[in-house]
Amino acid sequence: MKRFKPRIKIGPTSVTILFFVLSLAVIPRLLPDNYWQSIFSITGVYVMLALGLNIVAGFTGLLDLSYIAFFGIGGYTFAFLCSDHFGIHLPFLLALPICALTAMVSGFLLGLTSIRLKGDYLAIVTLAFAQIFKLLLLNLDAPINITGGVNGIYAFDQVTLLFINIVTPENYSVLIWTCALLVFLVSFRLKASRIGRGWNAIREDELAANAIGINTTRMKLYSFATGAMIAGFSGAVFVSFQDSVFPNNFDFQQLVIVYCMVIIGGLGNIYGVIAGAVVLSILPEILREYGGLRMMIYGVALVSIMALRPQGLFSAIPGFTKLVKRPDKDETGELRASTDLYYSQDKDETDVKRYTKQAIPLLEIQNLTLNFGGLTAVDKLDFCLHKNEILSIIGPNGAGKSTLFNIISGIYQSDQGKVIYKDLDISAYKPHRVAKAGIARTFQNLRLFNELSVIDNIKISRFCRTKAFFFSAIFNLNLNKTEEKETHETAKKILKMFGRRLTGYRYDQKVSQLSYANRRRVEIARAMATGPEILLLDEPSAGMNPQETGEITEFIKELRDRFGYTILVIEHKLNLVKAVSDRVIVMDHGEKICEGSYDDVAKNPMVIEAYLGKKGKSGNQTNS
Amino acid sequence: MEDIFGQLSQQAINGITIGGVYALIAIGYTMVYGVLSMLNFAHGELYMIGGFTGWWVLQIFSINHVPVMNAALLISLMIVLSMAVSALLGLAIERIAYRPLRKAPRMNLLLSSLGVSIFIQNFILYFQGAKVKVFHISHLIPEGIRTFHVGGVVISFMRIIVILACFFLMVILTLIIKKTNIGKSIRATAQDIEAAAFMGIDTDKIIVIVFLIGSALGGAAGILVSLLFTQVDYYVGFQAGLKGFTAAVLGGIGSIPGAMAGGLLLGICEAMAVTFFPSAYKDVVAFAILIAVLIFRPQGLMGERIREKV
Amino acid sequence: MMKRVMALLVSLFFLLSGQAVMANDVSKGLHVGNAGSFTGDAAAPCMEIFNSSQLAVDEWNARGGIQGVQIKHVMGDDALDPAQGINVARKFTSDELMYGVVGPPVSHIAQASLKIYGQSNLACITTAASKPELTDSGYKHFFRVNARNDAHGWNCALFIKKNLKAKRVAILNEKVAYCENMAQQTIKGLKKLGITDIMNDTIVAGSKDFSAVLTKVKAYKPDVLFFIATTAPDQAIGVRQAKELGIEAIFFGTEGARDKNDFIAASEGAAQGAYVYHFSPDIYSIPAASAYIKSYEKKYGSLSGFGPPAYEAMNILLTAIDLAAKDGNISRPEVISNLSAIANYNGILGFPVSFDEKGDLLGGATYFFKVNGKEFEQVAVLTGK
Repeated sequence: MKRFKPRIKIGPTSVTILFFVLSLAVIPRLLPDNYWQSIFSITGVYVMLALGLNIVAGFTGLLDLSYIAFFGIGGYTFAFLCSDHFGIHLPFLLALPICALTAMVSGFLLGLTSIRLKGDYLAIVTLAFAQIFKLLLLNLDAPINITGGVNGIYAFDQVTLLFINIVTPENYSVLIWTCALLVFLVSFRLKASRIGRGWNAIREDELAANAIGINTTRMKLYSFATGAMIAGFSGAVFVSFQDSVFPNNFDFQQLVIVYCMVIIGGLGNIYGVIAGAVVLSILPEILREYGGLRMMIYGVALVSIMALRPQGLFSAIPGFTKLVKRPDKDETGELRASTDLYYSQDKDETDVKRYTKQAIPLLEIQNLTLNFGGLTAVDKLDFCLHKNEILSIIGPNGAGKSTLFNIISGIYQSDQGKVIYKDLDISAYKPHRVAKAGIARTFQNLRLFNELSVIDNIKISRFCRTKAFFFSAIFNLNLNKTEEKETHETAKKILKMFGRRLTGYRYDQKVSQLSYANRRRVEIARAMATGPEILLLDEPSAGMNPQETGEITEFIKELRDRFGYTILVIEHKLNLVKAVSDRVIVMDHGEKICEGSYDDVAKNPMVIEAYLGKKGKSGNQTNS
Repeated sequence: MEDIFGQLSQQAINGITIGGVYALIAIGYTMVYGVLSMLNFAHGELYMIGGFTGWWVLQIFSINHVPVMNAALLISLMIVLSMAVSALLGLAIERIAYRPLRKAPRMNLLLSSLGVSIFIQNFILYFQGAKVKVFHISHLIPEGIRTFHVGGVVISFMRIIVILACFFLMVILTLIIKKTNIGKSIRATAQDIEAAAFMGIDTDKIIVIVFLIGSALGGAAGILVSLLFTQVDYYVGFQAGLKGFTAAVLGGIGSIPGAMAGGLLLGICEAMAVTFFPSAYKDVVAFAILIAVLIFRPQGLMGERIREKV
Repeated sequence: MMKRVMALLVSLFFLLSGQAVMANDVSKGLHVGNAGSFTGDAAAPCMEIFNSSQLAVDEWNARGGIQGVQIKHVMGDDALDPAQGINVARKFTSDELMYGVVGPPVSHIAQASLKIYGQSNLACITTAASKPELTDSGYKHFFRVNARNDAHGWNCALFIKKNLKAKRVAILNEKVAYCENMAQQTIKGLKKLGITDIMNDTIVAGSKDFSAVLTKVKAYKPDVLFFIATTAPDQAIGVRQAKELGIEAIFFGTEGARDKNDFIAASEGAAQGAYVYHFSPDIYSIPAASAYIKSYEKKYGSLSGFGPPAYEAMNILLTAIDLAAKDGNISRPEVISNLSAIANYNGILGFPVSFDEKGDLLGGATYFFKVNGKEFEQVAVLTGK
């Protein structure tokens, strides 16, 4: 089964690095004159800017319209630190990180106020910040002159690096593209790290990301600050090149251009974004002599690209995307269809340890109550889940089963009562802390990260069990290396439990291309990958045919018997419930109406009533 | 002290006029957002087109700045035709730039609308020139009634027309939304487009109607402002759009009464702010209010808080 | 004589600075640039500048060009963005056949690109950038046919004090470099003249609604409202809304307002009795300008105050180029030294144009006009005294 290794890998990464090397070494010497040198330098600045925005908008999906303000903060900080304006003359290499840090801190502070806002509200608040920023730049020249107002600040110190004076556009293009290469590497490393996966998860589904252990608020804040830092860094380099800085440099129109670069390149697609930045910086130059006509062409191009290539201009060019479609044939050349496959055929029976229910309480629900307006969704619920137990919760629609899960997993806060997990009161925990404590869940109506591959969906779950932070991820330190290896292996190990359903070529397949049943499996796998003790499964067999339901029934049993998970499962299919449950709780109108073994419960008249309605008698339904 | 009071009441009049216009623009944003959940960046350009249409109507129906027909009739004609042209353009935009993208990610729609906005703006720049178009309206208003003095407060005739027209249009819209079947369908579609479709509402048709109404109101705002300030140029849409958009969010995006309230509030706050701060900080005040409202009431003043369904 | 010496000095300057002075054969082609913000906020005045320059170039070409070579007029749009202004400067300076540029008209963009033009000795004649620092920074290539703000500001202050007899002054200025500088210079002058009751606030260009800030002005009860905006339409709205609000102060507008269509006609009577200043006499009253006005209006429509200086500047530039090209060879420093040697050029502006050693217009006066009916009536000429 060993795959042959490709001899020379010509992937997009090597092409991009080659491009950068060429940009640095060859292109500046080939360009005919200072004009093109200068266009080339500005292109480098835009590549940096676009890559930075790509982190915020592309990786994390935040519609950040104040991005251009951080560009400005970096630029103005540089102007303050390296000119006669305040008489401060710091060396370039010292000023540069200070500018980046100032922008980062501003981003962080701004993010603190607004990051909890969703989608378009975040957009408008950040837009308002950007507008205020520009107005301040324009007006803070009186009573004391801080920003220079409309006159801007100009004539900066000459940049000297390694005893070379950076003066000509050619010098600058080398400097700027070196910086762009740095930004590319940072962005590349981050994307491949746990941090990048965390951001992607937030973009795809914030709530699900939170539920598998990602502190979404904090990660969004980091993303915001990272973007701001790169913008500030580019801002400093840019104004140094321009040798002057004005409020107009940071107009809304500039932001629009950078957004166009990122979206035309394809959100989150690093190579596409670089290509987008290059194309959109050079194209307007070619059209410069046409004045008004040039912007008309720009507008039409934008609309057509969005209509014809919604994923960006560079999305489906081979090499620009990694995700693969399902091949029709397997490695042996046989035609294959998903129904031919049956998972767990080659069960590894060496692991003989068998788990059964123990009399140790693991999760205790005490007097839990939650009201939605006038409706009591969960009403004074009490029960206990024991170690290595499979406890099923059944009940008609609207009985409050999923709401119960939402309370346990921290998505809803209960009005009364407690959730105790191993002597720990987790009632007030946010979802990511619940996940980290050891309780993972699946969602009834599937909340996978649809645009990501199967294996990435699983890898994201390892977020809460790994620690590598920015420094480690960017420099690929040992911690990051070991964790990445561990993450990859764990993900594969968990997927292998599902047999060929989710392995092989499926690793790299987009989740949105999977069948419904397979997506359910990925949800379970994703929950398992967070390394939990307790699994909360919300209707694991919904949408499965009888054969698949049989498989999943077996699998749930295996999860406990072989792997030792403690399982709380909501299910409607009673044969599944019957097959797996140690105990069953029946809920109706938010209350527990019955508890016991499957057979006991099945005979209980109240249960029959709840499911089938009252026989003969009508009336006295009091708790609706 | 009395001075300040007099100034503030004058500013209130200034604010209500411009606020009414913001409200008309905001309604377009909010209605489109309601059904498509998209920010229509091109909306400001419809406002600009409204102004230009009005200018052409005035140009065609007057000789040497003297109208060839009854002034009231001409003003009504300007408003109606501006609304019609903007509405048709809005329709065309929806068909060409948005409908093909109905299923695409939201950011694409946003960018597409930006493309439309850039195109329209530069189209006008190219074919109508950069120069301001001036409305010669002195012959539209009889000599004696151009301004009214109430106490120390001055109100011009055009301001009264603008305020009345804004409120008239808002009342009509409210009636349509509240009382008619179409209004009911619009509300249903805004609440849940899929469920509305299941209930037999032709949601495509509703989207078209929403664009028609929103764009027409944008066009009306454009011509009213142009009549009031007597000028229009190709660049007015951007700033107006930004303000309308701010007003819509302030009021709670998706809520029509919210847009009206947001517009008026924004207009009045801006005018009042000038009394107390250097006028350069007028927009700072406007945006700071927006930020404050959103941080303490993320759904806007009159928006509904939606609990995320899990 | 002075001129001769100066030209010599300039040539010496280039020799000493060790610049490789490359002389080109004229027959290779002659390019002149026009840098400006032809799209975006300031498109209207900038297009007028471009069109007027184009007119001058067309006329030269119709006369057979220079040394039989047709002149190519290249547009460089910076969209009011200084970064793009730099790209334009790089583009122009890299064009070996480019010998002079009209523009940039916007002060802060001129500032951003000053060094680049300067380093490659490409002559620039601006027609509107009036920020004083531009010619104070030591570069020899930068000329202007408009007066500097400090001269105008002082003259306007004198006019406000002496002719308008004001004691309380409200100054509203647009938030762009030119207007801001003008306001500051005027305030400086007024204070020197003993007027201290001054209110200063800002307006946003193109916002079309100044009623809020004008309401504030009304409460201040000034004798004169100095309305410093760039373009005529903005000032037409200003005067109109001021009248509407019942502000009794004398309305005093800027250069941009000396525009019969977009100021007097557009304000529909509100401008009656208002004053404006300008750095040149009324273009319509100058016989030498009538041909230009006629062909401009025929080709491009109505004319405001931005076109004539651009037409003049292009003609001056082409004269200098023509002179430099006499021997069949031409170089950029030659053009610059010819420009600084220009003395008493009599064109269409109604006064002879000469440059001082910094490149500023020599002896620039400020002309004051009062609106009377549909015409501007010249009421005063001040030269700093």
